Formats: sequence, structure tokens, C-alpha cells
Amino acid sequence: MSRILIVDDEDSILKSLKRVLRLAPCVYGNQTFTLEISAFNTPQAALEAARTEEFDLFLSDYRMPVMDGIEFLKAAKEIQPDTARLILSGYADLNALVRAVNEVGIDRFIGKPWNDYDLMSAIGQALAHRELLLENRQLANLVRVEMGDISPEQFEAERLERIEPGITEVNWGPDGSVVLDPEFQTRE
Amino acid sequence: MSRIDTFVWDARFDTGIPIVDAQHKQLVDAVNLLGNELLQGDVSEERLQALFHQLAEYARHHFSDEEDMMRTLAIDERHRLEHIAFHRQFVEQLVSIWKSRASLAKPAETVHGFLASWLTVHILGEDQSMARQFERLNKGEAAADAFAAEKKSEDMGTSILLGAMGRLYSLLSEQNAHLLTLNLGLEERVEARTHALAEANSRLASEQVELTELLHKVEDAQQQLLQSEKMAAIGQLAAGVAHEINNPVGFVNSNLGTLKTYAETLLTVIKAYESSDPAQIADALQKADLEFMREDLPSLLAESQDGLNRVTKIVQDLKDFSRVDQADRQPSDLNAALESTLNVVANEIKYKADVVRELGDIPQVDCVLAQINQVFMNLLVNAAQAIPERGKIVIRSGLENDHVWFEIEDTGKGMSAEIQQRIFEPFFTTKPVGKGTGLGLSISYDIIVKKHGGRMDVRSVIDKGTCFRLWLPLTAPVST
Repeated sequence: MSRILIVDDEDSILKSLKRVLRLAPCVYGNQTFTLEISAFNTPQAALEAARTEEFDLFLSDYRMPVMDGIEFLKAAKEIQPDTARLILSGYADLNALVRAVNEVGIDRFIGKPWNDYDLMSAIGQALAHRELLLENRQLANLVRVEMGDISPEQFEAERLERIEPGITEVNWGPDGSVVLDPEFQTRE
Repeated sequence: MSRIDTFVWDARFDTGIPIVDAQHKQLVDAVNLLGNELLQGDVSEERLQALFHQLAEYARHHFSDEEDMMRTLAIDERHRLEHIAFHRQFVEQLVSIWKSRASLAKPAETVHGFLASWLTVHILGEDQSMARQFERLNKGEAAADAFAAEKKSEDMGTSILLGAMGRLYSLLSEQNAHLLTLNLGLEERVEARTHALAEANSRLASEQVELTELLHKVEDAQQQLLQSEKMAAIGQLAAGVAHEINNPVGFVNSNLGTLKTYAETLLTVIKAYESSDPAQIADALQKADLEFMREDLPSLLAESQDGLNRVTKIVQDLKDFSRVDQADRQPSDLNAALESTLNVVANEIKYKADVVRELGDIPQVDCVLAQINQVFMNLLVNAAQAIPERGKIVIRSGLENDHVWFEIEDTGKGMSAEIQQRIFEPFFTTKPVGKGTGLGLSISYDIIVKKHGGRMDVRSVIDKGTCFRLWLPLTAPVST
């Protein structure tokens, strides 16, 4: 089961996407992904969800009030760096595209109106790619442990870090105390 | 009309030389004829000219006969030269008096009087003297002696009188000639002036034609500018409008795909029922998830319908907005126009501002709708672009006496007094290169003030926002 987060300020878009993603099989190569969809009509609500739940893929609109798709994906990437990122937008502005690629490193930019089949295969491809990356990293780390390049502690720390970014960092207060809740500490 | 005293032949005129006397009589007749014809007044210019030429020709003919005679008979040279000079003077005098007769108070009397007097003096004087000298020559006297005898024999009084008369005529002749040249000069100057005036006139006329042409060109260019500014604005809006259309088209398209799957599933279920095989029916039902479809189908259809309506609406609004087919004034519902323009520029606004409507109840306004829409668009887009992060745009309308007014107020950056002074200047813009043409407000001002006889003003406070207000008369005055 792959968990997908969708953000669009247009409810009708969200509903139509949910219909498609519920029905069609998401296939890439010999892999088939079953999808579980969480849809949000504001980037803020979506970010809130990203803080508490783990997702495999973010699919975001570009033009939204208050926060655009790129700002949203940037913020989401900080929370879940290994999640695949896609933009679905009817606003084909070259500037937006450049920013999306350079600043956020999106996997795909899909235009509106979209073709359901293309959308599904893009999602499937992004999920497969992500799985491959993670698996590679896992295997590479195993090899490094075996070769003694990294310690099992480091290996475990990386695993934990992936699940909960920032968990292995210690936030020191000015008086030498350890601040557990990073929300109360300004980063950097 | 005065009468002319006919020039009567007198016995004392006789010279005793038959040919000369005959010619003299002929001349007297010709002079009388010309005088009478001149007096008639209704005689054609051609006839007068012809008579005059006849007279002049005849005089010349007579003079040359006399002169030939004097040469042949070898009269004393002194008399001959004097005599010839008199002839010349007469001819000159005659021509000049004839030419200037138009400016004379009594042309007939003057011309006739001159001719008669001159002939009298000449015949009684030179010609009689000539005749007497011929007589002496005939008797065998020498020419010089004849001349001397003539001088001596002359009655002193008559001689002095004739000499004085001769001088008087020559003086008169000179005076007349001088007057004539003056006259001619004057005429020439008048003609030159008239010519110069005519030239100046035609130059002015051609300049006016040129100016009219230029004016037309300027008007054409302005019309083009108006249209191209609108096109530029639409171009800038195009991306936004595309977004506005692509969103509904996106989900309607996707929903149709889903609907197709639903239909296939339902058909499979129906087929299973038709087969009446309980196993098949159960299988089909289990795969179909009818419960979900039953719930989802109405909302799928409703949403798709709504999406298509939105596309239809935006296309219609775009058409209203860019309307070039209706360039005429007609009564228009401007609140509706404002709404429709708002819809066209929705994509420029909705990510920047919440729109608050405070539209009053206003009657229809006589205007060119496409132009007013253009003004609304300029003001709305400016308002949205003036807002840095997120703000509010308030649109208001109302009726005040025989004017309707509209206000578009934003909570944007505002403008300094210097900028406010220049906003209606063409090509003035504070937007970054490529974002604005600098023509929007100047063209809006032109449309509202010049084309519709309305009014437009602005109030703005830095960091608080700007409010544009425009008035339109319900029935616009005829535009130029």
C-alpha cells in the first residue's frame, strides 16, 4: 500500500483524482501499487498531515492561495525528504517549472488537463523509482557495515533519521540543557 | 450724359495741299466717330479698340505721308525735325491717354477733347507753316530762305501762342506718360500682391488638407494603440485564463474517463443479470462496488456539469470582454460587466486578494461596453498587482444624480504623490519590465474622460492602498 498526499485548492480536482486513483491499477514494470489517498484543499492542512503521517508521494497543484505548490513541496521535503514529489498544474509558466526542478527537485511536472493514463504511470514510475533508491541505499549501507566503513550505530541512526528527520540531532539550549521539542527552537 | 461738342471743320484748316486736307478731314471724322462711340457707353470694348486702332493707323499713315512729302520737297531740315517730333509726341500721347482712359472721370470728353484740340493746334500751326514753305519752295526759293521767311512772316502773337501750346502739350504728354508708368507700376504691385495672397491662400488650403490627414493618422494610431493595449493585456492574462480553463477541463475530462469505467462495470452487471446465472451475478456485483458508485455517480455528474458551466462562462466572459463586434454605444448593465471582467481576471486576483462586492443598484449606462470592460480590467489587475502578499479588493458602484460611479479599492502598496501625478501619462509604469505596458491607465483615462465624458480620480496612501473612482454620465455626450 502506497500512501499518496494530494493538494489542490479545487475540490472538484481532488474528487476526480480520488476517483481515478481508486479505480485504476497503478502499474510500473512488473510492480503494481495499491494507493491510499489523502486529499487536502489547502497546503497548510497538507503540511500538517505530512508532519504526522508518512507518505510515499506528494502530488501538488502549483497555483494556490497563500502558499504555492513549490513552497509547499519545499516545506514537505524538509519533513519527509525521501518522498516522491509531483506537480499537477494548469499554469504552464516556465519560471514555475524552473523553480520546481531547481528548488524542489520534482520527479514530474504534469499539465492540466491531464490524461488519466499518463498520470497513473507517472505516479507508478515515481513510486518505483523511490523504492529502488531506498533499496539501493539500504543495500549500500549493509555493504558499508560489512566492510566496516560505517558502524552499525551509524546505520541505525540513518534508518531512524529517515523515519523521523532530525531525530538523531541533539538540540542544545544555551544553558547546556537538551531541548527535546524542536518546535521551540529556531533551526540554524 | 454730357454731349460732345463735335469737332467741326473750319475753312482756316485748309492748307491748300489737296492730299493733306483730305487726310485732315478724314482724321476729324475719325475723331468725332470715336468720341461719339465712347460716349454711348454700351459699345463693346472690341469695337472701341477697333476704332481707336483705325484712328491711330490713319494718323500714322497721314504723318508718314506728310513726312515723305517734306523729305521729297526738301523742306528746311529744322522745320522737318520739329514737325516729326510733334507727330511722335501725338502718337505717344494718344496711346497713353487711351490706355489710362479707364481711370479718367470723363473718358469720352477727355479723349475726344484731346484729339480735337491737338489736331486744331497742329493743323493751324505746323501744317499751315509747312504748306506756306512748300509754296515758297515751289516759287524757287531756297529751303533755308523759306524757313527764315516763314519765321519772319509769322504773326508774333500767333507764333508765341502756338509755341506755348506745343510746349504745353509736350509737358502734358510727359506728365501723362509718367502717370501711366505709375499707374502701371501700381497695377503690377496690386497684381503681385493678389498673386501672393492667392499663393498664401492655396498654401494654407494644402496645409489644412495635410493637417486633416495627419489628424486622421493620429486618430487611427490611437485606435490601434487602444486595441493593441487590450491585446497586450489579454496576452498577459492568457496564462491565467488558460489556468482557469484547464482546471475544470482537467477534472471533467478525468471524470468522463471514470464514468466510462463505471458504465462498463454497470453494463457487465446488467449482462450478468441477463444471463440469470446467480454465480455470475454474485461475481459481477462483488467486483462492481455498486454502493460506492451509487453514491459517487450523482456528484461526479454534478461536478462535471459545474466544470463545463465554468468553462462556458469564462469563454463567454472573454468574448464579452474582447468584443470588437460591438463598437457602438448601447445601454449596458455595468455591474454585470464588472462581474464578467472580474471572472476573466479571476486568476490574477484570487491568489492575491479576497474580492468584496458592494455594488449598488444602478441603471443601464449608455457606453461602449468593450472599452469600459478594458478599464475595469486595468483597474482590477493593477489592484491585484499592488498587493504584495495577500489583501482585499473592494469593488463598489452607485448612482449620484445623472452619473454612475465605480470604485476599485485595494489594500496594496499605495503610491507616493509624485507617482500619483504621473499615473495617467502614457508609458509611465512602476511595474518591472515586461509586466506592464505603461498604457493601461492612460488609455483608461482616455476612455472614461474623453470618449465617455466621465471623470476619473484616485486617492492613495502609501502602505495602505489605493482607490480609483470613476464617474460615467448615464447618457454620454457625443464623443469627438
